[in-house]
Amino acid sequence: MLPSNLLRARTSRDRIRPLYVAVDAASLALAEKTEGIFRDGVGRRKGELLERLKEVEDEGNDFKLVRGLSALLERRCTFEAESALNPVEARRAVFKEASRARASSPEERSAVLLKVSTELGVSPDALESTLFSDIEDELILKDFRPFRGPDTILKYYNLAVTQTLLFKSLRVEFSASGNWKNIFRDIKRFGLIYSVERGGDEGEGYKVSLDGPLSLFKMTERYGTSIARLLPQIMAADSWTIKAEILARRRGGKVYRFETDSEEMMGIITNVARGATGGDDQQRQVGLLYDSTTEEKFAKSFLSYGTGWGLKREPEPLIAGTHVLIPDFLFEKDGMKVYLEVVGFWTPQYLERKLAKLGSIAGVDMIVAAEESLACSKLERLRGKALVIYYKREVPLKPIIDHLREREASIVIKQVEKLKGGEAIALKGDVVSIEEIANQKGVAVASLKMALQDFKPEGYVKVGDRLFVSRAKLDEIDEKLRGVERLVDALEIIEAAGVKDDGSKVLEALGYTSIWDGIEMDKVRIAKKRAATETGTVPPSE
Amino acid sequence: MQPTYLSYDRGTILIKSDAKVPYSAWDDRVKAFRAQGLYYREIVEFLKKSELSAVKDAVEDLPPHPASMKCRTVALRGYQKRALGAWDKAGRRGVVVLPTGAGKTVIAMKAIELVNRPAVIIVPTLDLLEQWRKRVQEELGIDVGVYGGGESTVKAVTICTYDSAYIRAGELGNKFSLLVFDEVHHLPGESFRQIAEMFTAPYRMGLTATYEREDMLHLELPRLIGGVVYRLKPEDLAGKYLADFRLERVNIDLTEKEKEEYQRNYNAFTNYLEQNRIWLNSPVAFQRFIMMSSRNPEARKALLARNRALSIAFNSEAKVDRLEEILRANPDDRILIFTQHNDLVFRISRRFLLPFITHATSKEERYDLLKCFREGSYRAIVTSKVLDEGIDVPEASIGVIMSGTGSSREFVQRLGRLLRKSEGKGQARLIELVSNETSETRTSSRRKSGRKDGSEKKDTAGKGDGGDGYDEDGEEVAAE
Repeated sequence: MLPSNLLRARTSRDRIRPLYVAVDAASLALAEKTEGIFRDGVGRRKGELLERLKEVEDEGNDFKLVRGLSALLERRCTFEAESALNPVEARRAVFKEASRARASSPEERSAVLLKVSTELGVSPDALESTLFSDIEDELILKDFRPFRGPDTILKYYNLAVTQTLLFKSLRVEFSASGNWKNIFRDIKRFGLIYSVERGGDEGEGYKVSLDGPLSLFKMTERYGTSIARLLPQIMAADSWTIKAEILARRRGGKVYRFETDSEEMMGIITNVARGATGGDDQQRQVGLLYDSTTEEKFAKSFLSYGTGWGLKREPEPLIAGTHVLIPDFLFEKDGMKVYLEVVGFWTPQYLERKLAKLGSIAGVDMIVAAEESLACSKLERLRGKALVIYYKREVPLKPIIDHLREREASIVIKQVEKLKGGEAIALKGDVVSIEEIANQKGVAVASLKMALQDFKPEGYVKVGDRLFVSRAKLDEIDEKLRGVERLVDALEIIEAAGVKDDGSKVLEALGYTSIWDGIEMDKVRIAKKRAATETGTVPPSE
Repeated sequence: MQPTYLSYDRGTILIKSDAKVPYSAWDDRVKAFRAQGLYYREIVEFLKKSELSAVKDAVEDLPPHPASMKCRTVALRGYQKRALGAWDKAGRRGVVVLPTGAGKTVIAMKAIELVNRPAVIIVPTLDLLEQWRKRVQEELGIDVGVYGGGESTVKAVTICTYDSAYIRAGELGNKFSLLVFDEVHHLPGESFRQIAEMFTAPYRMGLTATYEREDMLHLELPRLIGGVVYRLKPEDLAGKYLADFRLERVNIDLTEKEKEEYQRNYNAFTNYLEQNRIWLNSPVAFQRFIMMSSRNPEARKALLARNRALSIAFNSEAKVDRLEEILRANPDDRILIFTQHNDLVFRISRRFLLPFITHATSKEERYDLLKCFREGSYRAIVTSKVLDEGIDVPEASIGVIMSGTGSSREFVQRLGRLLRKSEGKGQARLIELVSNETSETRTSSRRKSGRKDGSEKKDTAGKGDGGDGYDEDGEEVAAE
């Protein structure tokens, strides 16, 4: 981003567009020349650097472009004051003495410098140069990190001017083919208000409109800074479009439109999501705003509880026809999903509208946590679609965990019933895992395990607690293992036969035990203690 | 009937009500009514009066505050009492206009005592932030919160810069009952006015020595914090409470060399205008010329020539020589030297080994410097604009203006800096060094008569372009 007065933009009727720099020979040459000045400037004064840059300006180049490029390059610089003494202390000493002596003539001046320099043990010249060594022109360029190449500079410049234009945006409408999590995390953090619609004519993607609370009352570019900072995240998607309303105060408060997309910007703009904005540095400067502490606190406490449920913040959007909902949290376990939406202020209409959207999404299990003091009326279950929980300052863990457990149990029960009542589970192939079956049947692994407790399929042996291996395959393996002594060899053979991972369980089922000679895997031997069992389980006597 | 629910959302008030409350609009995005924070008081009063339904008000989120906040040592002078009384009578909303040095800080602290609820004081600079912090802490005996310059703590009394208040309005807006604006003439700017619009504080006080703005935006202030409730001019207080001052204008000839260079550059500028039939007879015309020069290299050359000419006039060596005479002639006075540009600041500092303050000076060094000046170990300071407003620099009896703008407000502020009542102080002097026969001469007379017809470029009161058509450095213009 650049200072607004370095932005060059062209307007035509109601459209506005920054003057992008083309990645052509002339511009590359200018970029190289400018960067060259910085590179040559290492070890020299900033004043010199600025003079040389001014020369480039005066050579007939567009001074705004030169300054824009310089601004970007200057951010890659480290300047330091170089002096024998601490300039602040040196000044104190000198100015105090000059004041005391009421010095004003050149002779009086020299006398002061001589006196103080003697006291400090340096030469008068060294003292004098220290006095101003930390003012801007006197700083020395210590370090300069060049860009990857002149074309990179130009691309960064184009991104920077786009962002600078967006500083003055009143609102923006965009679509992006991905990177939703980062985009919506930033939208929330910047305190913007969004509304989402399922995307355009192709029906693909989502269209998001952004502005802020104040936009309702007046044309304000207050949110422009946040919108500009969101740009790199939007551009990180493979394809994206942007439509912004720009307020040009200098031209009498007229509102212009700015439109562009990933195709148009291909090759002339850089889309590094973090690097372009200078990341966290700029965030700290502008002041990052709306950390939803309620949600943060909740996430921390939930995770430290250890329920076996995973927690995802701002998961993939839920699509409901042309409506999109991005819930605050997703709880996941073994394929079971429960969503949580934390609502600060709400009216029944607002809540119902949200839930109506969900109604059209099949199989979505939603919990809504609503701030109690803002409750307009207590509603236990809105159309039976969601559980509504009330909270005062913090979202309470207990009701949610209870609910998750309940859901888990009921899901499992339902699924087990379904399995038992449904068609018998037929196993195909030599090696079948429980996860595969669970996936096929669309149930949770936990449910399947329960349902299969007494499951004794024909011709198969249960190996460990997640595999079914055919009798035939087991016999085949048994044969191959004849005479094999080392564990590692046995495991290889078993894997080669098509049973991955659970080799040791197979051995168990076949009646082998392992004998450890020391701790090296290599030396472990196997020996058959008993005949392979019918059912694959080890009799209790051992 | 359903109760009405109010809550605060990022600078606005969300309203759930069966009846429509004034100042609100329907926000379809969230399916509720919304109003700007500014109207909180009106909305609550309306609901009370209408007695339509119970109100559940969750708007304010005030920090913990002591049962009573009392001033320890301060006693109000007559006119200060009247000012506070007038403000109270006006519903505790409005602006108090008093000359610099008349003790507006004291009035604000008494207002805090009167309202006795969490208050935030908005100030334009970090220097003023420090100054207020110190005084309030000493006087009220409480820990003060600060927002700005890297700090961010909210306490019962919090001091905040205009910039921070603008950026953080959404978070801070509902945390205070009393809003005090120091140098409130900054408030009506396009961006800063949002501070008043996004805060819910029902009680508001504005303080300034210069109410009117050249761009007429002061007309927004009544809506934002109330009308002028009390007003005094420097003449009303001079002698009794404020030191008298004397304005001396000194015309100085340029050196021969300077005259010649000045003429050359100025002619280059006027020739271009003539050749291209451009007349710069109004501020608007000048603005247009500046915009033109950013696209037209020839025009830009002409503008740069003009700026060089002006620079010569403003910064002429002859003036610095005269400054030497002044320093020599007044060894026992404490002297403040004002200049427009850093270049001249350093030239003067180098030549006379005088402490300097620019926008780049660190907070610590600035603080230390002012302290030394106050204590007497520094007898003069040279500064570029930065000490303009309200900073306590007591005991300064001579001010020298090396170059200045044509804005009347700035003139008054600078003058005000010297008007500090202190024991045994004679008349203060403000010396203006003007180059003969240059456009600067015109600028100076405009400054003196306090005309409001606008200088060549708007004075944006604070950082930003130089107000005299200089903007060379591409400095980012301030929020206004």
